[in-house]
Amino acid sequence: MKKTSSSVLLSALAVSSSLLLVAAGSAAAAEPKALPKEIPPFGQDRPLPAPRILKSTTAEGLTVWLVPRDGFPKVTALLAVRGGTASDPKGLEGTGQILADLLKEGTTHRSSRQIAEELQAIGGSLSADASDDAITVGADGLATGTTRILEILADVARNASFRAEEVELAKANTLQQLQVKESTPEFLSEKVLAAAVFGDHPYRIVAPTPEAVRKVDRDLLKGEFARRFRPDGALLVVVGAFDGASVQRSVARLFGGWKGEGPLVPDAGPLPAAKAREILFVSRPGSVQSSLALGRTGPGLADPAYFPGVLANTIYGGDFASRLTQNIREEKGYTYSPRASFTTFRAGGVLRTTAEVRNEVTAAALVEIFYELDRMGTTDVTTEELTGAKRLQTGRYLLGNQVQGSVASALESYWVRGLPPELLAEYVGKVNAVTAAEVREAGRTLFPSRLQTVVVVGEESVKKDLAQFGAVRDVKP
Amino acid sequence: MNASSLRRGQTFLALVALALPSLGASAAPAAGWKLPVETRTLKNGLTVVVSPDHSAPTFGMSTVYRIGFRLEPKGRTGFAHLFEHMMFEGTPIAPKGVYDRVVQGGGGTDNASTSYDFTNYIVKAPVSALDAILWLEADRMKGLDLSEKNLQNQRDVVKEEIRVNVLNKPYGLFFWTDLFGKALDRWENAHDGYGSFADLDAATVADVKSFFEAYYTPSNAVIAIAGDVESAEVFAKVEKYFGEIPSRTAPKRPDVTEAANTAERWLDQTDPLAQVPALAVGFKLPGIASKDYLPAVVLGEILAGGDASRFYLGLVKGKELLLEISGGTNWPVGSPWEIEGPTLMTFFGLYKPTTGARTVVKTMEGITAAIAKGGPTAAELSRVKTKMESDLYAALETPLGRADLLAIAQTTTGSAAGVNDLPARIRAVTAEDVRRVAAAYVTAANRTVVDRRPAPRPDPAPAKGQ
Repeated sequence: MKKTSSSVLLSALAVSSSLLLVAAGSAAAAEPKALPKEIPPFGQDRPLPAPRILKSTTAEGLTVWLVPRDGFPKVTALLAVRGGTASDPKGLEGTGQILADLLKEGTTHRSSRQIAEELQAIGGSLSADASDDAITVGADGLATGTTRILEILADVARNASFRAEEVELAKANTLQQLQVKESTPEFLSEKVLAAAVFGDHPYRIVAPTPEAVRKVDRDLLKGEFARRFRPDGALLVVVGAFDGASVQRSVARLFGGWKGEGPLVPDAGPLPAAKAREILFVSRPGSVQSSLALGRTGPGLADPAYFPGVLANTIYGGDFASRLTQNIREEKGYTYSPRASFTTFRAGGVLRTTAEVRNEVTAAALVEIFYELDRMGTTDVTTEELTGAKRLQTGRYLLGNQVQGSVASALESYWVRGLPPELLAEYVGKVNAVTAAEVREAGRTLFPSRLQTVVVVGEESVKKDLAQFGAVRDVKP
Repeated sequence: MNASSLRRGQTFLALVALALPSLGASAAPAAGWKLPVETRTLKNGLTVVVSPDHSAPTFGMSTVYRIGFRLEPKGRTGFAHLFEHMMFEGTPIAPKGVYDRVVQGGGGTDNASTSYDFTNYIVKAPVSALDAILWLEADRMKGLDLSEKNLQNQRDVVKEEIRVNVLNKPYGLFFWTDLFGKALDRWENAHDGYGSFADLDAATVADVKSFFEAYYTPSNAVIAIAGDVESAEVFAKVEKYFGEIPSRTAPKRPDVTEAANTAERWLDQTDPLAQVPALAVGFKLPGIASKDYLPAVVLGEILAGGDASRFYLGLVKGKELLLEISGGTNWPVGSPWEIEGPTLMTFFGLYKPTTGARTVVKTMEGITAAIAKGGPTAAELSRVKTKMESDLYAALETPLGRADLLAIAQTTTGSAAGVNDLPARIRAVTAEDVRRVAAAYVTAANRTVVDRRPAPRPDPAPAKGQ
């Protein structure tokens, strides 16, 4: 058990502790009704545990971040390479996912079945996924199988074989999966929103077209594999119950001699600015709900505007206590599932609001969403809201720390965005340093409803109520 | 997938993909992993379970009531779940909204879900919020501030939940509601836990009151807390906040057991929202108390637990009849440990347009018949049991995961500490146990199939895929 404390984080936390219950008399904007006096106050916050991350680089240039911890007897390892679907060749956009899927399907040393059985024998499994910026292979298992986990990851990263019959099966299954996706409203709205928000930027792609899938072949996959899977464009993260020195030796042995050729995968360009409001309608006959999705581009994780944006988003729509949830769910009953998210990429970020609402309240729900968006820039958030949002982010940090896979994913996401692992320890301090004025400024710049692209997927009959918000354009997904 | 665990809300985890850093470590030993478990029952019948872990300053808490949709009133389908929503609508002291404000202000996250045999209310938070959150939980166990307005609000919210998860979605959870409805006979086991809109509309404030009076009593509840706490401290606090709640006796659980079916049941369906055909296959199983249950869990894992499973290798690979396969014992209700029973062993797959449901079922039958005859191989059984043990540990990784499983185990089996015995009990399952259970339950006579095919589309859709 390692419970070192960081003085910076401690002082930041001490400021926020117990503020909630004494904030009612604050002179800031309209605070909600005071909480019942019977509720016991929050106790003193205990120190935040500090991370211990062993950073190294192999002779071949592979970045290695190890987080050895006691206790929970499992190990999670992720191997990420630069170059996700945003790096797919022209005409083959989105097929990076097929490349990722096939990584599980065999190497020059192991069949797909052998991989699955070897990992099952140590209580684990293999996963592989393509995001916009990276392809990530993950393996886990009981700590007693740590070496096997690393062996299989190294084998996949170096020797994936793309056997012809596996390629054909993956293509056929991808085509059928696309049909399944096209029948869900969330996929349709995601696809249309991404295309509108990102314009010509390669982040616009959320899935390949059937035509692109048909063009994929073994030679293409092997070429793309060689281009992206190289030590100097890769990260290995291992989190769990293992000995750091011993894993470092295994990594040097298993990845020794791994080479890459040619130029590294280039970065995607900057994101386009947020666009003036546009309403896009996708007809989905038979829908009993309208799927609303609003979105715009925003800052990335390294941008100073990120942390005020995160807190503003939390207050706007980030949890049960948020304004949007209280308004369109708890007061009006328009929806079960309102959600606001702020996600980032290597280049910039995106803010999104989604809600599924019954057909007859489509326009009524949009009015409330616009209202809550615009309110973020027009009035200050309350002291209780700001304190609550900070404490929520701090709590999520602590709770996320306890999940091996979450720690590994957070570190991987930092690396993909070109950020150091130290951000882990700095995260809570950055959250707690944000002022109410900065949240208001984030509201003014990131939340205006006039800068949101609006997608509505649903019955043709709901369209007539949308025109009052601006021109409505029919879109075929 | 937890399809039929009807939740209060979606989780908001997507928001914190970047906010999940590293550090602490959990404090359990690496081999033969066991949790500290202490249990105590208050005078009013409330059972308290504590599992300390000081590796990080957080705690998880699960309050489980032994009532789910299985025993909700007839004519009131969906009521147990609607009631779960009402538990967040305020009390005489803490009106609507206070609960969420305090949990968020404490840095915590909460949710709730309704299943067949229990309803759980879960919170995870920094341990500095422990007293406030215990107070909130005790406050709503004392009584609710019910109003017609709040009931109407949550009725609307629940209907939106059903629209988003069932009515507006291809497949619409048919592999739960329609399959279980067809396979099981008693109303308690067969009815739709999400409920009909007519029954939801018929629910009254008086119904909410009487359901609360009957089932939301301390003696019908278990509260489990895991994390940065001491047992004595928790017992004292629970006594302080919950000790004065009057005791009432909950209705005795009726007999809901069912015998295995004696002839195959088959349901053909069309789905206007789907474009790819799908099937669900279920086999009726006894509850968690049966000696056959754990072997059935192992069998489910052998058949559909990941890329080394027999159905995956035989149907997704091999004959290439399915696009994907999911399933196992008590799927999609929850993990195998989250049920009293009866339940099903269920398999769900999307199939290729070049085949049919009957062909898929026959191919499955070939695979299961081989196990019913010769059992699993020794290597296969060993691998699968190791994976199950590993998955169990994963479920116990966080304090909330521990608290929840301990509270559920206490509720469904009468022993929270029994969670610690599961790894040894899994290891003790023999090839003959698995063979016997396959031969007894995974039979054509005990099989129910729902074949769900895309409905002909009224408007000419653009050609997609193949």
